[in-house]
Amino acid sequence: MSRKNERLVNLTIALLATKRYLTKNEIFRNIEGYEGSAEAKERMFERDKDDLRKLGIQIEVGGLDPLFDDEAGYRIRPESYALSLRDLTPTQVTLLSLAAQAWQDAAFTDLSQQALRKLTSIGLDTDTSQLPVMAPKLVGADENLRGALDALTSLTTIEFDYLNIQGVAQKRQLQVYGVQARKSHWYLIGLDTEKNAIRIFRVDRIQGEVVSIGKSQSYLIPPSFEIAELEPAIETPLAVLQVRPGAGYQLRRMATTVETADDWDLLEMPIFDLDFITSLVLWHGEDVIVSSPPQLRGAVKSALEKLVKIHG
Amino acid sequence: MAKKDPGLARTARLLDLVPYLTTHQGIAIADLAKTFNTTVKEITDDLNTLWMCGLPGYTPLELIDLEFESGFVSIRNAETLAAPRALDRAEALSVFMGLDLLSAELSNSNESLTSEIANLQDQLRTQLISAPQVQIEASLNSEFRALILRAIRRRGWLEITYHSAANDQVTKRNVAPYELSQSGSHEYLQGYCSSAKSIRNFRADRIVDVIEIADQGWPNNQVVENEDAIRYEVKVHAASRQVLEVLPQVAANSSTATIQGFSAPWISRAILSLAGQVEALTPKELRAAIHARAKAALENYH
Repeated sequence: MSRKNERLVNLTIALLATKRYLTKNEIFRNIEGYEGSAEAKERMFERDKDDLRKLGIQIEVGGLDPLFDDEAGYRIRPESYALSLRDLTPTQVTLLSLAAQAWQDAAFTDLSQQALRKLTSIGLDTDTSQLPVMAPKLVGADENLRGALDALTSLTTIEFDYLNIQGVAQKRQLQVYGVQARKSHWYLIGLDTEKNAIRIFRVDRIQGEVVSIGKSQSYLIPPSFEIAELEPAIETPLAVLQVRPGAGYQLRRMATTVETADDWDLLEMPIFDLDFITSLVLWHGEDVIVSSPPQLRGAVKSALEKLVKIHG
Repeated sequence: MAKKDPGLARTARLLDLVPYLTTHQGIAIADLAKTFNTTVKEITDDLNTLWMCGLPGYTPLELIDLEFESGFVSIRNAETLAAPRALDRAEALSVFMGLDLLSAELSNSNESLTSEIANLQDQLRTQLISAPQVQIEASLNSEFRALILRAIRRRGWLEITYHSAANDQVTKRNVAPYELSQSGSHEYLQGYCSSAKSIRNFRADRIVDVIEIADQGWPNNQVVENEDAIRYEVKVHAASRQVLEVLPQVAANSSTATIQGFSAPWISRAILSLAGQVEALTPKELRAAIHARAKAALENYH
């Protein structure tokens, strides 16, 4: 194990230091650790290249001489190997460190620690004088969040059982395009490959484990894809609610307009989700009346009739 | 993935040790092990391995020169590996998401910082081939968080404007905060509330305003958590996802459940919001309260 590690480090150093492409023969002749038959060396080198690539190191393959299409050569460009965040100010280093520390005890702890070590290796001092006291924290130690983030990182399709609105688990396949933390929940956004449409899934509604299917790098995130554009557009229907003065704090925060009056204030708010608004109106009991649309008014009325009936 | 292969993780650590040592000359082996989240023995093995590495030729002129017998590590002749490695895709994503949270917490309060963050995010995005979309919402803005953390440290007092969903009211309370903690998917501020004369939990995302106030004095007698538990029984008419999420104590395949709650207004509102999918059986006061509220609400429509 240690011999192999040594060889990989030596290979990295040699490929980084060279100004031109090194041929396999040069590599085998000069770099310590390549031993055995020609075939054995060949196999060793193939595995080593794979391993370095798995570590995110880009090995460039190129011809020795454009005039003679002979043996391929290899090198690692220092600019692709090294951290490219350059000319960082102490404030920026602090921001990056804070960002990496936000994952403490959450899904990405190990990765953000690695990132933090690389950032501190720059050797720049941090400067907190420009910053307010901050200790941002990303919450979410859920194994499935980690699984989904790994899939997003490696561009691997995932499969999971998802609790639908009726409370029944259904198998779904997803190419994750992005993540969102909203109202204290994590959401995955991506292409539902069976429905061939963009869908949003709440991570804590996944039953059991997230499983990778197929290979990594099996899809690309469309460059035109924007989470922000998934936000409901202006055509969202509006609800008109009558709300008792002093009541309905949450409804007022969501409202686009509030008209105050003596008995009832008049609120207008977008209906992003009919079920959600129905529940929210019911939560406020006799302090809220739905004026329109009829669909929402009907849903609330029939829910109230049912509540009265079963509790009578 | 690379992280799951211990051999490769070791190679990564060997490569990352060089730039770290280059900027932290003279670091104690024990500290180095701590930074790299491993043991002194492992790190010593790493140093012994690195000591055998270098440029082809592998004479002392080409080998990495390490000194660590004293228990403190210094490195020389390692220029080729001296630059920190680029962040891999996963590391870049983790930092990117953390920056998104920072920016959300700062919201509009500090434009020069949020634009610095945007600039860093742009730099990271160019490194992410097929860049993922990230959107993080903060449960607490940085200004409130800073005030709360300072009060916890100084054992100071705050006036907190809080929205209670159960009572549908926004009230001001004097609170001596103990800690910010996570429970389930929410963040809570726990503290002694002088209005309630007991320890209370406040959901961070329902805190409307925070200001520092003068010391209110701590209570003389022992503080107890005195929220009275209410046991209630429900019948489940439809075990929908919403029911399972609002009342997690309900089992997916059972028709009744006995649940422990703490706030009568919260329980009746929660059952109202479930639109008849769940029926309150006992206590009868709860059942009557729900009936009365639903009836009063329905009368609004006549």
